[in-house]
Amino acid sequence: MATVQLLNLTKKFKDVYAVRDVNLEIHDKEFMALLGPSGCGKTTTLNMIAGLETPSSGQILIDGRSVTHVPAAKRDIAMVFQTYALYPHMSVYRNMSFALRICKLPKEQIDKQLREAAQILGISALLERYPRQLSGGQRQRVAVGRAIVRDPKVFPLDEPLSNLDAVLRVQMRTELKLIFNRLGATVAYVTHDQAEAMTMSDRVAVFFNGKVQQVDTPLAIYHAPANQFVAGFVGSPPMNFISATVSAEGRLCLAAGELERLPDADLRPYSGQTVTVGIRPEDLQIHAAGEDDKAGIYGQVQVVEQLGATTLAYLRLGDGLIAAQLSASNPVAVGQRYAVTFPAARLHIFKGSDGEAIRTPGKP
Amino acid sequence: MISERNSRLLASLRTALRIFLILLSALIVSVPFVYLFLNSVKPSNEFLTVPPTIIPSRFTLEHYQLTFDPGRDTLSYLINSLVITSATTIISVLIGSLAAYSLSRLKLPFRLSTIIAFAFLIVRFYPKITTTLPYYILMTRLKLLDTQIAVIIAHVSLTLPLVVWLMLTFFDELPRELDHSAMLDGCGPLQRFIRVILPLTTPALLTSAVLTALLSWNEFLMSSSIAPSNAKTLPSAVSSFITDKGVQWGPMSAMSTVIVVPMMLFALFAQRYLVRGLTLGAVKE
Repeated sequence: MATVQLLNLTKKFKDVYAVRDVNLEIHDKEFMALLGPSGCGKTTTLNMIAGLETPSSGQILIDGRSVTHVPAAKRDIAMVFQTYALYPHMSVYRNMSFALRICKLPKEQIDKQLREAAQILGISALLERYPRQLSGGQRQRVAVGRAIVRDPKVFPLDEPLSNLDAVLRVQMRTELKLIFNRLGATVAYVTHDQAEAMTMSDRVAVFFNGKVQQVDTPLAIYHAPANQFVAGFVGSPPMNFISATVSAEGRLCLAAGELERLPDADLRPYSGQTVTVGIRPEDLQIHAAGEDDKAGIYGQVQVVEQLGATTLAYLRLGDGLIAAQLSASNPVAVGQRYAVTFPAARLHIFKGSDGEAIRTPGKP
Repeated sequence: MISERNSRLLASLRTALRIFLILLSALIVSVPFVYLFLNSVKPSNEFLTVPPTIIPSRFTLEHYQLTFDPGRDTLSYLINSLVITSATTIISVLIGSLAAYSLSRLKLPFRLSTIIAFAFLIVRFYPKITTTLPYYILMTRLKLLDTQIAVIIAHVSLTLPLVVWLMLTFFDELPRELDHSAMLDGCGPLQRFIRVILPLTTPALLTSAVLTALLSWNEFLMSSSIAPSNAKTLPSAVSSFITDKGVQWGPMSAMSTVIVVPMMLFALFAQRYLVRGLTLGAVKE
């Protein structure tokens, strides 16, 4: 296995930057997720690692050796594609052995390697079938099998689970994680599904607008997002954002009222400026508001979503809706007015100008 | 409200109309060929009778004997036609599919791929007759006049655009991930083409081959002008039955039948692939 380093990697399509100055290191045997919305540059980055796209500038190093201009075929990389890209005219056996046959490995060795990989993936019984005779999950497994049979240095995986139905996706998520753990593989895993990124990877690189926004462990990204984009993208339901201004004494002034000074963050340098306050739905609590309650923040419940273990309540607060994730035992009525409370320590504060985090609560 | 009986009657009427239209189309297509064949087995004296006889009073093979008379060289024309058609088909399909694959996959600057693809198409824009004379002069200068090579060059130039455009459509529809996957599996461009792309476009390849062969086999204008005797093909040989003493209808029909039959058998054999090739990609799988 190997390390992958991206140094100031940039890709321009005509005048548009698809990837801009990306610096990233994937450690040996690390499972790194490249997470971001469509068009954020994560797949272009992956294609450059694989050698399917040539960078406009910057370098790609595998095991410290520059492969920036090495053809894809010579990088010792096995990719799993979103559409699987199985060869329709070849049986599973021939699909999986194709790369090894191109390398002209001895037949016995090919057969041995292939049967081992097939066993790991539980597809030994499918070897004589053609891709069209397989279900989505089986195709997915064959695509992974085709990659692992080669024992490559790096596995770039391009949204390999996105074509599967929800149940199978969750099941395959665990299976893939187990397989790659067992192989001790270096994996670059592109996904737009934050649940996949959070559950499968050792570290996550969040992409937006062709740039890496933050690289860290899933929990660090969740609890200490580097900016408002990361905070809003990671987490489901997403973080609530409320606009606020900072008073001369460094207090946060919301439309609904002024908050106490935060003990661990000095906001005075931002006094007079607009900031964005972020709070995760699970950090919000609501209580039925009495008619005579005047102080605090109040909202009327607009929608209630029962998820079984938890309940999501959406409350109107000023112009927008905020989501509160509550225990299922907490009865909430649509149309009712509630007082909204939250521990000040759980607040995220982002600059109004560029969304950079001023304060994050860190791990609870 | 239409009763059940009425709607059933309407449905059967519709079926009847459909069958009638199919039969009519089949008739329009096949009548000339049937008439040609009947003429080829009709005694000579029945050609000029008034009213003309459609079904011959007796069947004769005298025209076929005359056509294949050793003095007429029909056999060597047949061989010319076979050699030229086979060579044209092989060369056109080989070069055309490679060119189409490159055009489909190469990212050339300034939309060069599109410009080149359209350059191929331009050949089909003007009437063939406009290039016949230049070809004649070119082949004379190259000392290739009246050789099979001259006709093959001319036919390849005529059929290549067809192959390029047909194959281009098919290659464009094949997912790029297959190329990428083959690339990562260690294949060079030619290996990718031969081991992954070609097997997936066999129907299209066969369609191109059939259409190229048909075009080359039936081509008259170029062959008759640049290969008037030694490399003469069957279609130009047919015209030699139009003489100053009149038209020899019998032998002409016999030779025409000889021209049509091999292509008909070929098309029948390739029909399965032809239909699949022409409709492939029309429906997303």
